[in-house]
Amino acid sequence: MADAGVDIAQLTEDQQLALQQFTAVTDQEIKDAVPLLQRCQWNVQIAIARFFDGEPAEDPLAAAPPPHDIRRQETLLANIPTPRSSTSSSRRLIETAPRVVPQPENHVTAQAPLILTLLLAPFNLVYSLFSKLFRFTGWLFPPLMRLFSPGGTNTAASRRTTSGRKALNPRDTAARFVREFEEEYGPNRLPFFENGYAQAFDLAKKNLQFLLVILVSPEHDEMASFIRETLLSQEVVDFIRDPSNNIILWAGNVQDSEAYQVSTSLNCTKFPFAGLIVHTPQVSSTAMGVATRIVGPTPPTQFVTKLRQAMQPHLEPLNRVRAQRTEQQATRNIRQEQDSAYERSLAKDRERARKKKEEAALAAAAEKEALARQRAAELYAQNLAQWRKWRAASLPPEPPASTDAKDIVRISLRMPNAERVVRRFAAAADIEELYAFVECYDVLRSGDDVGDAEEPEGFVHEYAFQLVSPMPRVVFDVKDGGTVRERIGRSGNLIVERLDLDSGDEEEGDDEDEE
Amino acid sequence: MITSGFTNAPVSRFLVFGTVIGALVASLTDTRYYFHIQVVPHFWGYAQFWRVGVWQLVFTNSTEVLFAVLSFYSLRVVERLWGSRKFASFLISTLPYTTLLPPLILTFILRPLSFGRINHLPAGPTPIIFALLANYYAAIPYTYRYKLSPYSSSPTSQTTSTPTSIWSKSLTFTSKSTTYLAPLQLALSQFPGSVLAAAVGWAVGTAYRRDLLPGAGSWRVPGWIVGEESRKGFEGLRARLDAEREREGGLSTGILAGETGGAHGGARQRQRRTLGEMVTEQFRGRG
Repeated sequence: MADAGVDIAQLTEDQQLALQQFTAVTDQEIKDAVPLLQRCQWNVQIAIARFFDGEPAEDPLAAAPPPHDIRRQETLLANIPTPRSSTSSSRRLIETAPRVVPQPENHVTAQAPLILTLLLAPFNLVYSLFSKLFRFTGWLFPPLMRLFSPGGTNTAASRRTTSGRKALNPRDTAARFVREFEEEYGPNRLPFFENGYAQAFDLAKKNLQFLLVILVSPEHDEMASFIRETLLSQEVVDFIRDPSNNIILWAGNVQDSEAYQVSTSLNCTKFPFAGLIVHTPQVSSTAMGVATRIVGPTPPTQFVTKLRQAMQPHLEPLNRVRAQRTEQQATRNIRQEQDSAYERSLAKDRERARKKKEEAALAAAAEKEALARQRAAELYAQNLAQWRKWRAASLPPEPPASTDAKDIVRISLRMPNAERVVRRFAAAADIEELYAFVECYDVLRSGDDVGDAEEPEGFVHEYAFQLVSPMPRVVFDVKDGGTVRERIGRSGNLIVERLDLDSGDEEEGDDEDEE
Repeated sequence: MITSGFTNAPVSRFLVFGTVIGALVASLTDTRYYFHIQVVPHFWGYAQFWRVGVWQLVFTNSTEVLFAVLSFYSLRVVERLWGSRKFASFLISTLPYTTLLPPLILTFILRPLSFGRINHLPAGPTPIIFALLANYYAAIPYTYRYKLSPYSSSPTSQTTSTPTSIWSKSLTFTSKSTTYLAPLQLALSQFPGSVLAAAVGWAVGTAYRRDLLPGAGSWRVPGWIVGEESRKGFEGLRARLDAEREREGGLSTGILAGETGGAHGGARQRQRRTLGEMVTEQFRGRG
């Protein structure tokens, strides 16, 4: 076996088996088979598919990254918990970040119950009366109003509602937040995620991105300065917008239900609050953890530094997960390739079988048709022969030469086989008789007994020739009718012209055979 | 926000402990009778007008103490939302209104109108609680809502058939509803007077939100009261340390050399240790 410079003995048992299978199917030389198998990493199915289909331009096997070692490296020295592990491990432990989905608004109808409305009716009345009175007073004495509302911007004051904010769905809430943010702090380049927290959370989990949650409490004193000086500073905006940092920015006003729940689940107790949430594969494959939380007023440089420091330890696990995912994707690609190769060969086989079947059907149909045609021809010939016999029997005999020349038409016929026949016909005879004579000439000449011949049933006879007089050429068609005298005159010299020469040569051949 | 305990809510903690300790001290020293106000003997009889200033200091009733503590505890959310400084400023800037208005209204409006029937104003900071509660009502969103109804109504029949009788109506509650129960008990505990205090408190809280109280909205207590000044100093120091750490690029020297043990090299995640831990480790011989 080791004839082509490939040492079979060096192959493992599995490889030998694969080689054997491959050569059995493809009937290839071993020296050609081994490189192909090697390119296919000794996968017999792929190798066979490639042998028949040709090798693909881009090799998914080669494109697949080398299998990554998913085992974590642990050094004993580095991972021994210190004696004061109670504090350090609790600090190192990654807090989980739960997914928050607010209650949909349409679940509960916002309709005040009747009893409560009745109970509160007097209070409502008194309140509206007093507020109207107060407004009226304010209208009468505008300086008084100015005295009563010192400082403060009008926008901020008007937003301080006394009955809470209208609850909206997450998407609208996010849009409202962005709008209010722009109204308050002017246009900015912060890439707010305009959807619910849960959607941002899922996106971050799916794309392995960092989710930066910023919770805004507009009534907090330090909020405005934090947003103006830190969040809207060029450094922070650039850091968040930098695509290499992979940050999704979600922000919410804690006076909205969703952001409030987020603040609760992230254990936010102090504003301004910024939390960095990231997928933590070291905890579980679906876990999201809080990488860091930045509370309180923070200068922009420190803000960015803290974020960067918090992102640093998570980059490596994230990259590992990314590599794992690409590996899985590559495996999936290989499997897809296998499947498609199999499908292709299957389709090819099916096509081949279908063609074969079609051809067989076509041949059978042709054979059948030929048989039918042959039978029809036979029947026709038989009928024709019988008809000739019958017509010959019914043909009136040749008038004797002694008859008056008026009643006789002498016709010289030139048969198709160049024989010249001269016959007398009665002048009153139909021209059809002339035709019938030509048709039955062979029968008449052979002198067979045709007395008992009957007309064949269901047979419509048609003359396959016409009588033509040369110079000038006149066609005496049988269909035009008329007697011989009227059509031809006292005597004629006619030529029999076959009409079926181009369609069938058999009859002529038959005639000549009989001749 | 609803993290249990008093994390980042020192003023609320002071209020809760102050309520308990004040009531305790008042009962131990047997001075509880100095705190409530009865217009006829106290003002018009003995001319004890100083009572207007002290009636808000303590609750004199153990039930009220309990519910006041519950209320203050649940209202710490407002402090977290505002920040301690604004919270303290709110308490102090509204104090003149919450303290002076109820006795004045009682003395000059309610008592003449009711022909001397409404005469008593119970002791305790009920107006402060209700001023906070008005802000809680306005600023804190609910997280979920639920319905209580005498019959179980399927959602399909609910939309198609309109209920006719009062009893088939259902009550809608929110996650915040339970928070109002303790203050409600407080408002109704000593009926006419406590309701007056609660109403005034709510009105003051609402007026604060609407910037109707002169000077109250923009005034702030000095930062040292809520401990912000000192913390800012630490923040600055910490920022400097962080900056130094950045500059060193992983190698720990100078002030941080002792802090980050050099045993495993500078590349490891460094953890900050307190002075005490550093000293103990020195003694263990690990430094």
